[in-house]
Amino acid sequence: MEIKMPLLPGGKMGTVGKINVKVGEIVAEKDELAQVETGKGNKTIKAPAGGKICKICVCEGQKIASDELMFEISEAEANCPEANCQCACQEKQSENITTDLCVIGGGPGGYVAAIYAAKQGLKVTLIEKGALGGTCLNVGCIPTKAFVKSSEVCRTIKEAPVFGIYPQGDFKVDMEKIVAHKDEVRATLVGGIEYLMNKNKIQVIKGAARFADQNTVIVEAEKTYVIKAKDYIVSTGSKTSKIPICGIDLPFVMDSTAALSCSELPKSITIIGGGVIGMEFAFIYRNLGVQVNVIEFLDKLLTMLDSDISSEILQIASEAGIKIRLSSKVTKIQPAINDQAVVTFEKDGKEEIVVSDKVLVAIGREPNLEGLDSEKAGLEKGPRNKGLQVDEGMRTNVEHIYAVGDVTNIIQLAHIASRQGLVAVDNILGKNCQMDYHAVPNVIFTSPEIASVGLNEDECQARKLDYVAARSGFAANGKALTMNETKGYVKLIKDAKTNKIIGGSVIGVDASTLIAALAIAVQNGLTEENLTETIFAHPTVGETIYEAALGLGIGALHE
Amino acid sequence: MNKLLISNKNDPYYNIALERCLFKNAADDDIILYLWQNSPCVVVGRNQNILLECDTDYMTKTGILPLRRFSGGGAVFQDLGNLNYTFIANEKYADDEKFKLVLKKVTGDLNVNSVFTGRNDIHCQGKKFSGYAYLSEDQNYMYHGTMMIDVDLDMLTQVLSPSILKIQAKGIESVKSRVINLQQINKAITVENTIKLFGKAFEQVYGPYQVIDYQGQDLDDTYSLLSSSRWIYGQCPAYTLSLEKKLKNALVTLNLEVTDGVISRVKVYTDSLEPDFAAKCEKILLNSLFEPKNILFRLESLI
Repeated sequence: MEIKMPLLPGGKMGTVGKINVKVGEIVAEKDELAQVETGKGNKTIKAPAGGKICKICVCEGQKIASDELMFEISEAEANCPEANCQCACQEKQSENITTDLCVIGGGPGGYVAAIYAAKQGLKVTLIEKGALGGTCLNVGCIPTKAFVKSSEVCRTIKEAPVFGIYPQGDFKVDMEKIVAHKDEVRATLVGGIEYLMNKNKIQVIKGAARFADQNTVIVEAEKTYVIKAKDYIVSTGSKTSKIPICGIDLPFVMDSTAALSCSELPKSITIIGGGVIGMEFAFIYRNLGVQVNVIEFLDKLLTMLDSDISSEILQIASEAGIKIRLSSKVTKIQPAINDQAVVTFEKDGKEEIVVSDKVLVAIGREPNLEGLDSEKAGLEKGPRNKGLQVDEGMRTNVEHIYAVGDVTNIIQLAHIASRQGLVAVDNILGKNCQMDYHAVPNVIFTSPEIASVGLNEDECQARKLDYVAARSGFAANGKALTMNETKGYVKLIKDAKTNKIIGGSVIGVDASTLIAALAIAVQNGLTEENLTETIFAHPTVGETIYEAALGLGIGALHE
Repeated sequence: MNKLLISNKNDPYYNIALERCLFKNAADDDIILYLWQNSPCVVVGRNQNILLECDTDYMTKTGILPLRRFSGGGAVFQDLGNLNYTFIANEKYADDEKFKLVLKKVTGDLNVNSVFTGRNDIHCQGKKFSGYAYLSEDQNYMYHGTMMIDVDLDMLTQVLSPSILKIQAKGIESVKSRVINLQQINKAITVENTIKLFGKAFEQVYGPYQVIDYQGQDLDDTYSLLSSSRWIYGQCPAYTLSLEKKLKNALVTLNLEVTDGVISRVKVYTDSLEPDFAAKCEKILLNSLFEPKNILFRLESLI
């Protein structure tokens, strides 16, 4: 079949622009073959039918007239895709693997599912292109907590005189050592997972996986692995969201991953985004003595929290010296002549600027399907074309393929990914399990910490539930007072009819530890009485839970 | 049906993705007018080589975004002082003269004495304030252009002078034209009143219209394509270039052949005292994506 240049009006000449195919390439009907410029227009030449490109009769930059021959396509050879990749495949060795379960991605969703499946007798292959442990362990939960600890130590030293301790001389912050400490913790944990993989006889393949079809996954590593499994779990996680703000690629702009290996401490930083990642970093840097500005697009910080808690952390952050602008849209980032960053944003229709050494973009994370070729397995995407669509049993639309964790775009939490992994494996084993999201604890490591579980007050109102909420502050708690940590409170929410605890939040000291008690209460439908009848040890911050529970009925004793 | 869409975003990748989706999904009897404004960016034609058109170092420094559009023609610099217009219709109903009539009514209402030139430009006082290009694909036709109202001319001049000179390419080169902002002709002209006049003129020429918005699944995918380096740097005809870069302790001259945006051949000359430095550079560059801002960074990392 010959492809000729279509008619150019007025007998004009065109110029061949980009040629999109090579000789020997297999094309499908309507694939783009070349672009031709005509005047200031562009005409896309497409294949009228599928076939193999036998001959290209034009070259880039050449003038071309109407009806001139451009391509020759052989339709007979449309169905031999091997012709296309011969050279690539022949050089490399390939290995065929048959297994029960193939897990793609070794983060807290994937590796937990792999161990759980292996313990129940399945033959498991796990594919990971980076380091085991995923985002959580390498560039998320754990590394940030190492930074949080370093920054808390710094704060403790500054506050030491309150406790009668006077550190001698100046102390200094060594960011290189802070990063090294984080890397040590990370390495230990990654090593731990490697050990668990060996112990459970899970085959780990290092490389990037892609689906060739519903039943085949290919990994191009030192050799080509062709994996056929009875079932698959996709746990490819998430990647940092990007926004195309002007100047986002400037050298002083970092995302959270870059910030975690940045071994210099800036004097000042502007954080774009007042969500979990943004606020954790805001307090980390502030506690290390950095001037911090936070610019949030929405009208509150940490939007998943109850409004009163969000206002409380806004006030605490402001008192700590973190400058915050809400309802502000960043429009551009520019370098000043002294190499500082100038961030321009709009608030209430007016333009404002903020100047700092560094900029941290923390606008969130989104499902990662890069290079997976999920469409070749026929996998349906979720709403707004993000992530993979799953049901409550973590099944995708393809019977033997499951998806868990951030890639499902349901809740981005490591502990949810792990639980989803267990549910997926149970379903593979025919146990018919479902995810239950009614008591998911969520912790934010600001100073002080914030944690919540179950419903919050805003959600209760939205659902028009008949509920009662009660708060008890740490200011009335003896242990908190000794620690000089009197900010914040515990808030409990009960169903007014059944007296069951349906939600709770803690903002204040040890919130990350206290939330476990509230999670047990919500998960198991404990009532207000179950809590008030429980003996809480004295003197502990846990007593505040007891006081809040009393607040749901007769009222707290110590307020 | 006559439809009008005014984009509420200034993100150029979004706006061009939206234009593409409107174009792809236009119904047979649609006449669409789409008005949009971009934050600072350079948009090159479908077959152009971005390195040949603009100063990419200057763009990195000032945060001007690089884009490649689907239509032909030359490179344009845009900021919020510019208004883009797009007409979309089926080839059967597309009539350049009718589109031009809308433009003539708009400029007439602005009291601008406009002249349509042979090179698809609109001039006033002998200088260009609007340029347009078109695209035809699968029976659909698109005619779009710029209208300079208060564009930063200093930036425009700086950014449209290429920084890499020793380049031999087969792409389509821009022809420089002298330009003028409409505000220089009539101070009262603003983007806002121009948008209003576009609505009015569209109605006069085509009759009543409906204001629409667009939310389609394909928007995200087109956005990803448009913002990918492979599209921006790779979708142009092959070229060779030679560039000199000063590293911390060595001067290197790179001779590169770039095919589909990937460095397909490379030869490095250097005054470095380290014996195998040139070989190391060549190894790291070969078969990698050619992005001007990354090259220096990657070579520095070898030292």
